[in-house]
Amino acid sequence: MKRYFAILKKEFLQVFRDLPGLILLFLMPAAMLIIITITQENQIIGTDSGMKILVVNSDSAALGNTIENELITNDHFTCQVFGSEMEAERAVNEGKFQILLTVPQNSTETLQKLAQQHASDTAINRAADMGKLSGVSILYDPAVMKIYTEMMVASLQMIIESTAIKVYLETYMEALGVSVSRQMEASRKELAMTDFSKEMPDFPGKQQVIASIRSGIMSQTQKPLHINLPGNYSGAERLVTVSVDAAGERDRLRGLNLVNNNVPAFILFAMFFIVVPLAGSIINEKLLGTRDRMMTLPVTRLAFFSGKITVFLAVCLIQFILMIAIGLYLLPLVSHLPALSLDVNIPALIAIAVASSLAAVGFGLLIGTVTSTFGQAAPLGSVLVVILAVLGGIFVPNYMMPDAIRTISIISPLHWGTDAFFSIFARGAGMNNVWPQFLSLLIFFGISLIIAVFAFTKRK
Amino acid sequence: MSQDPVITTNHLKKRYKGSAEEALKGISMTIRQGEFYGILGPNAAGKSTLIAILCGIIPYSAGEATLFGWNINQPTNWLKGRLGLVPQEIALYPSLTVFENILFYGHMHGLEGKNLKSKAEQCIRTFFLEEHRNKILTKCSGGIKRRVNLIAGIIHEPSLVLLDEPTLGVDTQLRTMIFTYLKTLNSSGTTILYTTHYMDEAEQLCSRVSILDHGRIITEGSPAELIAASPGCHNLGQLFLNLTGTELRD
Repeated sequence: MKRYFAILKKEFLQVFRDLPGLILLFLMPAAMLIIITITQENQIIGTDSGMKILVVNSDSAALGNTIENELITNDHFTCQVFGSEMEAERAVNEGKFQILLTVPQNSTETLQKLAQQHASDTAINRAADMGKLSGVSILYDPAVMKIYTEMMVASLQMIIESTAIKVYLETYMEALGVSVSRQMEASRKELAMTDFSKEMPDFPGKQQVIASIRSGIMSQTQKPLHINLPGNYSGAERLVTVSVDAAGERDRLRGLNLVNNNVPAFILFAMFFIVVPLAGSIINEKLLGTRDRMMTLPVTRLAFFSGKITVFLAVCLIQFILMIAIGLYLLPLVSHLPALSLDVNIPALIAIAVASSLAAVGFGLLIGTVTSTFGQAAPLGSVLVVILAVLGGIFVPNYMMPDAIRTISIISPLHWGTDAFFSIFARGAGMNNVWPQFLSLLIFFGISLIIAVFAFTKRK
Repeated sequence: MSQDPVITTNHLKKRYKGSAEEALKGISMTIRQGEFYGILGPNAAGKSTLIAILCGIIPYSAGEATLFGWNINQPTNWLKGRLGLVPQEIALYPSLTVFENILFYGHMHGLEGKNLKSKAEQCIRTFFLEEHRNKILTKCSGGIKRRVNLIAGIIHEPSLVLLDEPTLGVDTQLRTMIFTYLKTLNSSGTTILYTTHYMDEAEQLCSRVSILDHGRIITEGSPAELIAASPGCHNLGQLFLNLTGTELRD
């Protein structure tokens, strides 16, 4: 038992004397918990969706204004009003917004005319109505996963239809009231001319009774007409057509399913996990004394790092190929999922793969040079990768995150990489679209390398 | 043998960041070409610090230090090519084999092709490593690692070799072999700077020694001269204790 306590004491001292390592051990998982929970909040609780909607209200009347107002005041998403439909569609296609809702000109007028026609028609011809309906269009970012798009479109359709019903009924009631009032006036006149005395037998006070009946009829028919329809009237038929389509050039669009969302996302996650062996390799050099020995050799610092860069770049690219192969061949084999489609811009895909790999290598070099022990490098490196992956939209899509987290996510190189991959796989993007992300990844690598080279050979 | 200075230091000082005391408090010395120069001193005397400064691993705080006439604070590849370091720790790659480690450091020193291979083979034979050449270093004994550590510092036949306690933890047979090798190396013109705790090594090998204590050189000269000048001292060990005392060091 005494030996046990002696060993226990030894272990305790070893762990708790590496204070930076200990702090990281507690701090990193805590940070991970906070960030992951906040980013998941929207999905679980459903408050303040990160999804952003654009509205182009060309109608500027009851239907368009009510829909616009309803969307702006709705707590479940962020809505912005745009003037130009073309610019709005471009913004959605670039991923700045997820949905564009357009209410065309004269939509309210069309709906009101329909209501007025129905109010005066004795029989409603639904087939003839179809050509006369207002059309609201919804365009979505093809890089948004289908499940989220369908959720949003369903919500928007409910809002559109309930607003259309409201506008329709208001017009219909007004028109119906006028029509019935006219009919009642005609009936009243007819009644006024009716000779009731011929219809009734003689009895004492007959004339007074007839006068009372006539007076009663007149007073009832002169009262204003209130027609109340059931409050939960939903209408059996559509009053507005809603068209749903993807934003962007039709021949380039691909859309995102589970496979072409997850494969690129996890390619990046896998690449950045080389931080553990790469940082370990650098710390090993420091601990073994080979770093000091190398400083006495006629070898530049860059040459020293170039070997590590080349090897780990190769590892990342092998991971890229492996993940693609899994998406192409294994996933369809073990599930009902479709195969990954490589009908994309291949040069852009390779360029982003290489740039992402270099960024991952730079990250590993950075962690290896700023930490002194494996006990520091492991929690810092691995947990930081998870946090950056969360911020990058790998576990929760970026558009589902709260605004604050989405703002922070722009610092994550995994965000740049996934954004570029999603553009390539979903929007049919090429290098002319993803060059900002490509450049950002290369700059990140460059800065990381510079810091690593100087920190590695920093002299006491 | 030329008398050109290979190493010169002039009031060389070193204070580590955050340290109250200087590790080196003004070292002035000159080591000439072809000398086998020993630096002796108790623990924390400053021996390894001096070696690290002369190799360019750490900068000095004040004073001056030159190798082959070049300021060592601006080491060039030319300078590094003429220098060989055999550090105290086994600064090798544990997952590489004996031969792979030797080849790697040969490459780093600028050797290549057949020239590198033949030098590597020669070293393998000289240090009796034939049957261990393909062993992964982690599977090798301390003695084998020491030999490979030595080879990594001399394979390129430098003009100056700095050895920091190269026989630490080594058995008598291997020590004897290392001594024989170093004497041969020195006799061919290579200048050697050698630090050690073992006085008998210094007496056997060194043409001149200096004794370092608390960051200062307290005496310098050939072992024979120093012993003769100290009455009652019959060897370097006795002289050393006379000069440095018996107080334990950090």
